[in-house]
Order: sequence, then structure tokens, then C-alpha cells
Amino acid sequence: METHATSRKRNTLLRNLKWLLKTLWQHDKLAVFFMTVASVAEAVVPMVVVLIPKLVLDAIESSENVKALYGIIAALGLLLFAAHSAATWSSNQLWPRYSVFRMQLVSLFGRKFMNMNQEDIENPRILDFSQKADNAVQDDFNGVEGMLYNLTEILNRALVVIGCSAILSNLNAVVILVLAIIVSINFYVNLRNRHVEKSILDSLSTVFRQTDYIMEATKNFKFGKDIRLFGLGKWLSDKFWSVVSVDIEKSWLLRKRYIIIDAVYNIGVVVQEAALYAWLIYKVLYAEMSIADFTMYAAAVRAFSSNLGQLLERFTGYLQQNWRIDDYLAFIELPIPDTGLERLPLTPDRNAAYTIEFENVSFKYSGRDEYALRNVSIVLKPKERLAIIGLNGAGKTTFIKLLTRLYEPTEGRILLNGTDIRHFDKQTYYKMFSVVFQEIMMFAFSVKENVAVQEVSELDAARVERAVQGAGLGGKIANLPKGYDTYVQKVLDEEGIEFSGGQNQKIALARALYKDAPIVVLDEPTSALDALAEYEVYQSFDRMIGDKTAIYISHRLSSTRFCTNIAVFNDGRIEEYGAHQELIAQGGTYKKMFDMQAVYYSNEVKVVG
Amino acid sequence: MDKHNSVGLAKTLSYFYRFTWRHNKKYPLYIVLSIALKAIQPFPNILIPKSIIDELLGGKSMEKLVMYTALLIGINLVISSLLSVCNHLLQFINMRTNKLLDFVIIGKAMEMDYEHVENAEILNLSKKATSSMKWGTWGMYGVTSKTVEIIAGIITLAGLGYVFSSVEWWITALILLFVIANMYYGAKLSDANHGFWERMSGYHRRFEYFRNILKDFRFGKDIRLYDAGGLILSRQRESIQYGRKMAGEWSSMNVKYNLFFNFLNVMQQMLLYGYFAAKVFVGTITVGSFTMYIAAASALKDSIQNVFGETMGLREQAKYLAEFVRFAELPDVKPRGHGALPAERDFVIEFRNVSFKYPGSEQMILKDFSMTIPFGQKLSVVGMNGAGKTTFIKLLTRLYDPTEGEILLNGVDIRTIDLAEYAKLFSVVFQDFAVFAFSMKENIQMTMGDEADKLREVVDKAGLTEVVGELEKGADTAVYKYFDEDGVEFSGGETQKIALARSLYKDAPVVVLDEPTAALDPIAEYEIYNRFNEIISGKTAVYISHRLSSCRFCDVIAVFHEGRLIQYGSHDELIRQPDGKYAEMFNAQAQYYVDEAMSV
Repeated sequence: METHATSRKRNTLLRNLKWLLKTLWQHDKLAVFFMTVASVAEAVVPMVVVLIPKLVLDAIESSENVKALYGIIAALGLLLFAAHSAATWSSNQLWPRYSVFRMQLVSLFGRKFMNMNQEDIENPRILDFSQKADNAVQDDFNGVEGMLYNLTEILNRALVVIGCSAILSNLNAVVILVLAIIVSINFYVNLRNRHVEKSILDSLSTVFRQTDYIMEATKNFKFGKDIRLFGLGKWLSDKFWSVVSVDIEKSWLLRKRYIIIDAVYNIGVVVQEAALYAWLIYKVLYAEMSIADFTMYAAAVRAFSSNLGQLLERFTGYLQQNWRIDDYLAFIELPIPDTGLERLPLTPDRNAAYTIEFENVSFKYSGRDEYALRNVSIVLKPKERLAIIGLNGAGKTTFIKLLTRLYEPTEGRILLNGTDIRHFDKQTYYKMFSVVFQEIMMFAFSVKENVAVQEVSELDAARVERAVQGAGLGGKIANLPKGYDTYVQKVLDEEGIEFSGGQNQKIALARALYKDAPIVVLDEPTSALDALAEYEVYQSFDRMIGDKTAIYISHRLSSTRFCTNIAVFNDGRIEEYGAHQELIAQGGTYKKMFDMQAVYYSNEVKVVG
Repeated sequence: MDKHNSVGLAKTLSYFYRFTWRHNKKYPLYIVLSIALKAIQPFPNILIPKSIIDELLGGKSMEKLVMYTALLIGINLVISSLLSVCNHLLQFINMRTNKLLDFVIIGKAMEMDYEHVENAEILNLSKKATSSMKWGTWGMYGVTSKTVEIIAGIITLAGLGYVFSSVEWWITALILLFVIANMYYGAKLSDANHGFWERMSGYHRRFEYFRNILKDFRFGKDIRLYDAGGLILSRQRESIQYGRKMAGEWSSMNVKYNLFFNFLNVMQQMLLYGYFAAKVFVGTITVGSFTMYIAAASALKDSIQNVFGETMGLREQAKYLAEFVRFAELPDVKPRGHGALPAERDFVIEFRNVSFKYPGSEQMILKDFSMTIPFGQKLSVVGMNGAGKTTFIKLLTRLYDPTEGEILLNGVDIRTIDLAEYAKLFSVVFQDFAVFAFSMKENIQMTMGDEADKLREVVDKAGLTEVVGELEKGADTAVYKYFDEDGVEFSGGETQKIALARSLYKDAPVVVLDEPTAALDPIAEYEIYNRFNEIISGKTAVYISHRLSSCRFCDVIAVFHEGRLIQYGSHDELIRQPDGKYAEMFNAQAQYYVDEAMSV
């Protein structure tokens, strides 16, 4: 997978152009139409502007009376207005259409993410890679939209350059050559500078990140307390200044370069204008060129050089955007590995008996040497309650991710009723589990939608209420003015509510209850709760779980008391396994940890710290 | 906070001009030079070609033609070269000033009353102040360039008025009429667009949200296991539909106005062509004058549009920049105090009839609360979520002042003591402690001096020795990767230990620990419990925890309930009150352990 990210095929110009136009055509045919009309119409306008003075002067020469003169001017006015209108009408359609097109590509990007393996989207290298791809659909100026604008402009400028060349072809080839050389020198200088600028900006990217970091940190209330109580104001200001002064220094270097580039450009203009006037004056004086032609050629020369310059500029812009499209396509086209195993049917049924077996399962994160989980073998019998305990980093959460197939084992197999789980369709297998993860993620949708994780039109409102009541939050939600339609957070609804950590935990519990899957997994579900709320959860555990299989992870060993078996994880292995009494009798790690917590609750022991 | 105390245009701009001037005395010089150069820039190209054309048609003197041409090219070169230099010097000043303005923001954010930091409205203001320096305006870049354009444009207009003074008055009036119509409808379109973008900002925020959750791996688990894809994609589709509708509105609105502008502009141009062409036709003016007037008319149109557009832009930008000024000059409300700390170091802290509600809230969090913390006491604060425990800490550390009642330090109202001095009394680990993206060592020592022995000692006490030992760069390892590619993402438990080590390094007389073991596993928690006495050693300590086990090593337990102190005493005393809250909470947790402990 990583090889895709790094080995970028350089020659993708045509392929990407084809992809871009084809995809745009699929999504919005009119956009392609408006793009063409806009480029042509925008090219006609400057051409008419170049011609008008000449035509008016010619008309003055040739007209028999003022009326005829007015007629010609009115006709020119109509032509100009028509060209302007076509350009205005079509170019005002571009931004909205390009922007909606980009959003559809954002959506495509999101869908890709959802179809990838959880393991991959947690992989920092793939995340980096996706971040680059995301840049292609980030805003109205870069990536896809930038490419489309550049394309429109390139077409448009090219037409103007061709038009001007046609006019100037009557003139002298030397003049055109001089113009082209000047434009090329300017372009080359600009291109060189672009590289320097880019390398300076690249070297500053760390500085920008750090500047943003400090600015955000100073405004964050989490930091605000420590900043005040430790008196960190000056310290952070100094840090900020040392970062920012690098930026200022580099910016001065850049400014000095710009002054030189401008000077080169200005000298070019002097040469161009001098050559132009010399030639035109010579023509008027010795070759009987009319003043009308004189004005036209002067205007055409200026239009030619500025449009040719723009054309080249836009082309480099296009190349830059093309790299971003490379990144986007490389990500979108990442293969999603297939197990290649025969697909077997699975129908999750909450009343069925499921046995899950880990058979010598090992797991390591991609790009890491050490195993996060090593040779784990364990059987989870139907209706069993398993408690998992262990130190931080012992592999508890990794175990859950393997069980739920968010990760695939590096070695070994996981069996469901004797069948390797890789034989099942992943989406179906996911239906086996109701999981509450340690890190509670709330969607900024309504409470209802958060619990059901379904659209309002599809969800079962009564079941939502039962689930929320079961999780012990029924009273709270029912008392809200909008009840179950209340939004969580304020992102999508100004009147949304920020629930407390404990309340979020209960909503997540309700989500698990609503799903009503055959196997329930709870990862530290009471860490944010106070003693009495935790007690309530413990008490209602039986009611909530019913006769389902359940796995309970906790640092609070008290929770092991309502579980049939306990697995003690240490350093990626299952160190101890058995019922509470057995493990206490064994006198191993479990007993040690249990006693450590118990001693403070015991009435017999007088604790002296 | 008063929403209506908005800062006016003049005050806003003068704030920024003065600020820039204070940091760069050459700013006005470059501004004046730029304005002068910009103002005269159009004239050579209007006036000199007239002479060239008239000479070509009349005298045909090569000498004069060469002189005119050289003059035209020469003047243009001088003006654009000088403008380029001035422009880049100004851009550099703008850039530097923008950074200094960032500095104002972070300084303000760090020094203002803490209650402002937690106030959503002020948080919003500070965000607006930051973004007023960014998109669309780029802070001083926008102010400087618009100022130059507007003033130079007005001067150019005066000059063009002089050029047109020989033309019939009605032609000037006609041009003005077109200009006024342009401006009037231009303002309307600009307002309409402003309204449009205001409405779109909510839409953009929502769309960004969908974009972000889809790629956030933390959501990935729930998205997969709860099959949330359908829900999210359908909400996203709705959002795109809405975007499409809005985009259509934008198009038709802009097409309508712009077609009208095109009409006005083409009309005006053609009328001038007709008028001056007729004059050439009847021989009243020369062909040279014809080209001059046409060029002047086009410059007139450009200047007026420019002055008008830039003025509108500056007004618009000033609205955003006003938020910056408002934030920078936000008054503090809390007394900072200037008294010294009491001479006797045996600090006794007393809450006397303290009531407290958060600003803007009606709900009393603490109600008529009285308690004394003698020097050297180890106090455990327990209670249910929302009982007022963390608020109590914020009052104690003076992040907030009581709404009613007072807090006394050795009998002196703490509000009279210098705030910075008072802060020195406390070593606090908050529940939502913050670890900076600097090195671990810096996170522990902060600004408190570099003593290797002391560092080693607190690292050990916080249980970090092993962690440090395993790191290649030891305590110099950076936390996170913002400042160092080799930075490390420490686990929740490890960062909690870093925060603990920091508070120990401070070695202040009063230690406050708010849920300091929430992220720790049982063994790490046990170690902290076990060494609590050694860690605290003779200081006053306040310990907050949901784990009531922690009450066992404290002298006194204060039970908070709904903002009041409902029980106060040692564990042995409180456990003997079977109907009390403490016994209820303790037993809720203990029952799972106790009978077991006895049976073993």
C-alpha cells in the first residue's frame, strides 16, 4: 500500500485531464458547456477592445456623414455588449458548479475512508497520505477547482494569443520574436523564483504549525488555568517570538528577491515598448501605416505579451494542481485488500448461541516491530461474561478491535462457531457486536439519531426511548424542551446541547442497547461517572445485558464481580485466566491488583499512606 | 458583555495605523510615496501618446517623436520601479505588523481574567479577532493597500477632472451619472453578496463537519460497528443539495447585476466614442486628443470603480478588524490586588459564607459555603458529578472570585493580594490538565529554573523514572510532534504523571490534585496513593477523587452535595454515620472489595 503513495508516476498530465473532464461530465454536463462558453466569450472581449479604436478611427476617415459614423459605433457597442454578456453569464456559473463538483469529490473521498479498514485509517502513513489527497478538494482555489479554473483560463488566454498573433502577423516577425523572448525571460525568472519561494515556504511549514499551535494553546481554557497559576505568559510569548522571527527573517529575504524580479520585469517592459514604438513610428512615417493601425498594433502587442505571460503562468499553476490530483487519485484508487476466502453466510441473531475462539492470535501494527498482542488463545462461550483487566498498554483495546474485526490478526485465526471470521462479510459481522468504546464519540446529530445511528425516517422511536431509559438517562432527555430531537453539540444546530462526559457515556450505552446485538463489549464505560452513578450502572448491568455474551474492560476491579471469567492481560499476552475465586487463590497479578484497590476500602486495615 | 459596544470605523483604523507607526516609523513615508506615485501613474499614458500621434500626423519631427517616446517610457519606468520598491517595503512592514498583532492577541488571551477564557462569547470574540487577521483581509495588508488605493484614486480623479475641464459640462455630468448608477447598484450587489456569504458560513461549517468526521479515525470504529455510513452520507447529501440550491441563487443574482453593469459600461463607452469621434469628424479636436479623451475616460471609470470598491472593501474589513480592537481592549473585571502575601508562612485558608454562580448563569454552584483549611491539612473533597468540587478549586486558586462571601488567607481577603504572588501558593493538577508540545523537561520545569537534582526527584515521585529511562532523549523528548518530528505521543496515564511532576517541581505550600489518577491503571494508582505522604510532605493538600479509597490517606473529608458542604470529618467518623452520603458512596464502591478482602 505504501508503495503506491511514494512511486508517483510523473507523466499523468493527460490521464488526469481525461479523468477530470470525464468525471465533471458525469456529474454536471452543463459545467463543461459553461466552461467552454466562458473561455471563448472571455477571449472575444479583449479582441473587440483591441479592435474598437481602429474601427472607430477608420470610420471617421471613411464615413460620409456623422449618422453613418454613429451607426458603426452603435454596432460596435452591440458587439461588445453581446460578448461581455456571454462572458458574464457563463463565468458566473462556474464557481457554483465547480464548488458543488468539489463537494461531490469530498463525498467520494469520505466514502473511500469508510470502506477502508480501520487499521489502515489509524496508520499514520496512510493518514499523511490521505491528508495530501484531501488537499485536492480542500478549497475553491486549489486542487480540483484550481485545475478547472486554470484550464478555463488557459483556453481563454490561448485564444487571445492566437487572435493577437493573427493581427500581428501582418507586422514584423522580429517584433513578435522580441516580444516572445521578453515574455519567456520574465516567465523563466518567475519560475525560478517560484521554486525558491516554495522551498522557503516548505521550510516554514513547521514554523506555521508551531505559530498556530501557540496561538490556539493560549486561547484554550485547558491551558488557561496552568498559564495563570504557573505564570507562563512571558515564557510562551518568548517562544512565540522566537518562532515568528524566523518567519519574518525569511519574508525579508523573499521581499528582496521580489524587488529584483520586478526590476527585470520593468526592464523587459522598457525594451518591449521601445521596440514597439520605434517600429510603429518608422512604419507610420515611412511605410504609410495609418494612425488607426498604429493604435491597433500597439493594443495588440500589449494584449499579446500580457496574455502569453498569463498563459505560461496558468500552465505552471495547472501543473502544480495536477500533482494534487495525482495525490487524490492515488488515494481513491488504493486497493482494499480482499481475504480471497470463500464467502459464507452469517445471520446475526440475538437469541442464537455464539462461541468465539482466538486461536494463537498475534498482532502488530504495520511498520512496527514489536507485537501489540502475542499468541493469544481464548474461548468465549455463549452467554459468558468476560472481564478483561490489565495495565495501560497491555493490549486490551487491541484485543477488542481484533474481536470486532476492526483489525485483522497478523498471525493466527479468530473463529465464530468454528468458522474463520474472514469468511464472513465484514458489514454483516459488525452486526454481531454492540460496543461502547473508551473514547466516546458523539455525532453532532439529534439524540435520537445518535442512539439509533439511523435516519429519522427509519428509526424506531419507542426503541430509542427504551434504550435511553435503560442507560439511565431517560429522565434527563425527556425533560429537555426538544426531548429526543435535541441536538448533541452546537455544530449543526445552534440550540444543541453539550452533554457532560458521564451523559455522553450513557448515550453511548443507549446506542449499544438500541443495536441489541448478540455480543456486548464495554470498554471502561464508567470512567467518567461518580461513585453512585457507577454503582447504578453495575446494578443495571444484568438487566442491560440480559442473557447476552458480554465483555467488560475496566481498571476498577470491582467490576469483575459480575463476570464469569477474568482475563488478565500483560504485555500483549493473557497472563491469567479464570473465575474470580480461582485467580484470588492463585495469588498472581490479579490478586495483587485486587488487593491494591481493596485495601483502601477495607474496614479492617488502618491505612497509613 | 454588551453586544452593542462595537468599535467605529475611524477608531478601528486609527488603532491599526498607530500600532503600525509605533513599530515602524517609516510607515507613513512609504505610504505617502506610494500614494503620490499611484496617483500620477495613469497620466503619462493619457497625455504623452496624444503628442506622439499629433506629431505623427502633423510635424513628423523625428527628434520630437524620439523625445516624447523616451519621455513616456522613461517616466513609466521610474514610476513603476519606485512603486515596486515602496510596495515591497510596505508589504514587509505589513507582514511584520501582522505578526506583532498576533502577539497582541496571545498576550491578551493569556493575561485577561480567567473567567473570560471560559466565556463562550469571548472565546468567539477571540476567534473572530484571530480570523480578522486572516482570510479576505490579511490584516495590515488589506488596510495598507486599500488606504493607498483610495487616497491615490481620489487624487487621480481630481487630475482627470482637470483634463475634462475643457469638455462640455454635460458630458462630464453624463459620466458622473453612469458612475453614480454603477456605485448605487454596486453597493446593492455587495450587500447582497455579503448577506449570501453570511448565510453560507453556517453551511460551510456543517459541510466541514461531515468532511471531518468521515476522515477522523476516532469516529471510524463507531462508523463501522454501528453502520453509521448511511446516516452520515445522507446528511452530507442533504448538505450538498442545499449548497447546490444556494449556488444557483448566487449565480442568478450575480448574473442579473453584472449584465446591468455591462450595459452601463458599454453604453457609457460608446457614448464617449460617439461624442469624441463626431468632434474629430467635424475637425474640432485632433486625432491625438481623441485618443487622449478615450484613454482619460477609461481611466476615469477605472479610478471611480477602484475608489468605490476599495472604500466598500475597507468598510467591510473594518467590521472584522473592529472585533480585533474590541478583543485587544477588553476590560478586565476582576480586582488584581497588590498586597503582599502574609508574612507568616503557616497559611490558613478560610471560605466564609461563599456563594458562587458562573457569569451569565443564574444557577448557584456553591451556596453559603464555609470551611477552613488549616496549614498542613490533607483534605479530601468528594461528591457526585456537579456537586461543585472543581468550582471550589477554581475559587481557591482565584481563577474566579466569589459572587458573595469571601475567602481569607490568614484572615486577609485574598482579593487584596497581588494575583501573581497569590498564584505562587499553589501547585495544582487539574482534571483537564494541559501538557504543552514542548519537551517533557520544559513541561515539568516551565519557568521555574533548571535544577537537575530536583527534576530527577519529581520525575521519580511522579512515577516517571522508568518512562524517561526508556526514551532515547530522556526528559528532553518532545511531547507531540508540533515542535519536533521525533516527539512522542504519551499515553493518558503518562501525561497525567507529567502534570503531576510539574506541580511537584513547583514545590508550592498548597497542593491541589483534581482526579490525578483517573487515567492510571491500578498499580500506578496504588503507587501514587502509597507515596502520597512522601509526595505531599508537610504541605497543605486538597485531593479530589471519585475513588473514595483515596479518602483513607487524608486527615479530613469534605462531602459536597449540590453546592453545599453536607459532611465534614475523618473517614472513621463519617463511615459511622450510616445514613450519610459518604457512607452511601463509600459502600457503593467498597462492597465489591470488602467482603472479598475479609474472605481472603
